Amino acid sequence: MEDRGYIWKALLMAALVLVCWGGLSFRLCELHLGRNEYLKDRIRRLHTVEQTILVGRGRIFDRNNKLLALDLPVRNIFVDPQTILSNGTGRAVSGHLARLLGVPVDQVWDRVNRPGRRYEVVARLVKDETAEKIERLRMAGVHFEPLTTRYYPHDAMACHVVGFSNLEGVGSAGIEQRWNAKLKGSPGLRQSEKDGRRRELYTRRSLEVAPQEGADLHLTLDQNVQYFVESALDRAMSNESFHCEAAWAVVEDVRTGEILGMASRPAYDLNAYGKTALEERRNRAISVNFEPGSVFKVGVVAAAMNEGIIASNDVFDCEMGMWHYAGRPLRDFHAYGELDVTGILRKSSNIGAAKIAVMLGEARLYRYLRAFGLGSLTGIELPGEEAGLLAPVSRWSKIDITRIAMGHSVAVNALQMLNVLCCIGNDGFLMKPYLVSRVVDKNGVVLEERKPEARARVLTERTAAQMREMLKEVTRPGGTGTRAAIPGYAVAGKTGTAEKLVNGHYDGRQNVSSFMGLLPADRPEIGIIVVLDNPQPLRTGGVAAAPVFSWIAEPLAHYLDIRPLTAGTTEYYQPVSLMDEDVTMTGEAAFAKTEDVTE
Amino acid sequence: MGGRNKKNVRAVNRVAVWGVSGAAVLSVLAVLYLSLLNHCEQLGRQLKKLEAERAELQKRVVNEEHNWETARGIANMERLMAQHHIEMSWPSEANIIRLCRTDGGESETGPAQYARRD
Repeated sequence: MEDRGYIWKALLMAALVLVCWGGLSFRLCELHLGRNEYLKDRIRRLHTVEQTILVGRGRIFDRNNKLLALDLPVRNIFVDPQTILSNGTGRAVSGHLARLLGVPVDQVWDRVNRPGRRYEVVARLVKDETAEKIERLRMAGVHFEPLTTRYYPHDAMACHVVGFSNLEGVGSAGIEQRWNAKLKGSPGLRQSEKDGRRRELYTRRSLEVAPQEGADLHLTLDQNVQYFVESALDRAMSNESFHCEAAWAVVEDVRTGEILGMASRPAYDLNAYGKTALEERRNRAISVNFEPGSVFKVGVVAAAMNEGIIASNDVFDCEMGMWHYAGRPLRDFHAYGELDVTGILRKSSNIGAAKIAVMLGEARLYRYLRAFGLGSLTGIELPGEEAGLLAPVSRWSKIDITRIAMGHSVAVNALQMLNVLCCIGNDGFLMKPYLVSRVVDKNGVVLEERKPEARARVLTERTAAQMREMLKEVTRPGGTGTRAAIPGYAVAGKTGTAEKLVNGHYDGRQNVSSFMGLLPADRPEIGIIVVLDNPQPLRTGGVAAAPVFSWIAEPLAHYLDIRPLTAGTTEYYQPVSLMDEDVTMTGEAAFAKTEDVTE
Repeated sequence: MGGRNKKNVRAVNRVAVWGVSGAAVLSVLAVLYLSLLNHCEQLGRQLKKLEAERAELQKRVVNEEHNWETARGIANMERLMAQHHIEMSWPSEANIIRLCRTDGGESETGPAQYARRD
């Protein structure tokens, strides 16, 4: 009986083992041969790794390949308070971190002394070098999170032009905003598998879409020119004689339309843009419409001369400072009797300019002003440009023509006004101003290249030369812009002082003062405009803006090696010929050529 | 009988030879496959290492570029000059010697003439 019981037990065990193995075998077969897509997917998901290959934004250079913006590797530093406090190293770790990060110890200790916490950020966007120093100390509980951030090596320099990109890497101002599509590139994608230790297996890569790195931008801006401009504006802002609410200036290459410098004050630090007011971020050189005042007379006189209506030595009666037109009085700042056209510009007579405008007529004046690009965007590659205000003739009142002649009842931005002067400096060709000269990808392939572009020929060469001759008188003794004169150089320029509109009324005590000039006057290479908003106590363009012009122009003449009048005869100057293939001409040019060129 | 046995032995031998040869070829292929797989994985690891190295070097290049740019920036230059009490001014026109620019080997004043043309 005992033997039989043993056999039965053995058989039972064998049966059980068989059932178990049979079950396992069945399951195995089911898993491999049955419907297993769901499981396969799950396994694939566990092993598959999908990485987005991030790329940095392209860099921004000035015309001399000096960096203005780049993506910098940085790290966030965070601590694990639980680990540090359990090791009893809280104070020591806080001390080391505070010393290397340059922050108060209490600030770090406040983060470290949080029992039970596992993640506390001590510092954000720490430069790699500093992070490496901390890493070398091998402190337990101190960790790093690598990332990149946009960095501007020169802080506030050219802040309104370069702009900034936000924390998400999206350009939010200036060139960074306007050229975001080119700068940002596109991230890549990698699909692969990982091993048990979660390391990616190179041999299992199934998909690799290479990232497209952001392209580099090369600007026409010159860092040194920019420095001269910004230094002069800073000096103007802090000057006791005419400290002003705001100031802006532009330097343009007369022959090509390249912007060499563009600055606005107040300015802000690009690396701390979040701490600045919106008003400080405003690029006033293109986004402020202002009534230009007497600088506008340049365009009016040039138009009349080009039409052959007046000559430089024609004499006008300036009515001893008071002239009535359409029943409304028009005054001069000082009383003048008879003045020739040169004198009208030199003394900046409103009455003289108004009489010239009346002789020219509304339609022709309007046509010339439009041909100079007033009332329309210059097309500069920056966001936020204002087109200015130039109403069509049909909306002009009877006296508007006399007010427009002296730079009221119209509004311009500084760049538009400078373009008018540069047109005179460039033998009548109106160039399209530009800031970005080249877009180059990471392999050095030039994606885009800008060439000088003539928008229109507004004046004849003769008129332009005559205008330059007359404008030279403005900076000579007896002119309104003598403070813009530079020893050894002839400067052709014009002062401007416009009353500001305050609550719908002109306020005689608040002005927008400006000066724009060409250097050197005889063969202009650069055009500069300086605008000061409400300078006090000295208020006129001649005493406030003209000196700022000379502060910019004098070092610039040395830096750009612009030859003074007394220089030898060796000629290096090579003006850009508009017949060159490099220079293209667009739409409006045809209009100006057929109708406006009288030569 | 003897002849039939011989034939059988030969047939068995032939099958054995083919079997062994096949097994040997398969073994060689298997070994080859394993060595190639190993080699590929080794290359993969090397590539991964180089990728990481490149990323690290790129990071260092960017850091150095930034340092260099900051060092030669005008603000830094001015700070250093003030620190060392250096004052700089523009040279007067009389102290400037200009060299002719050359484009494509020829100066703007024309190519150099060494021979006299009669």
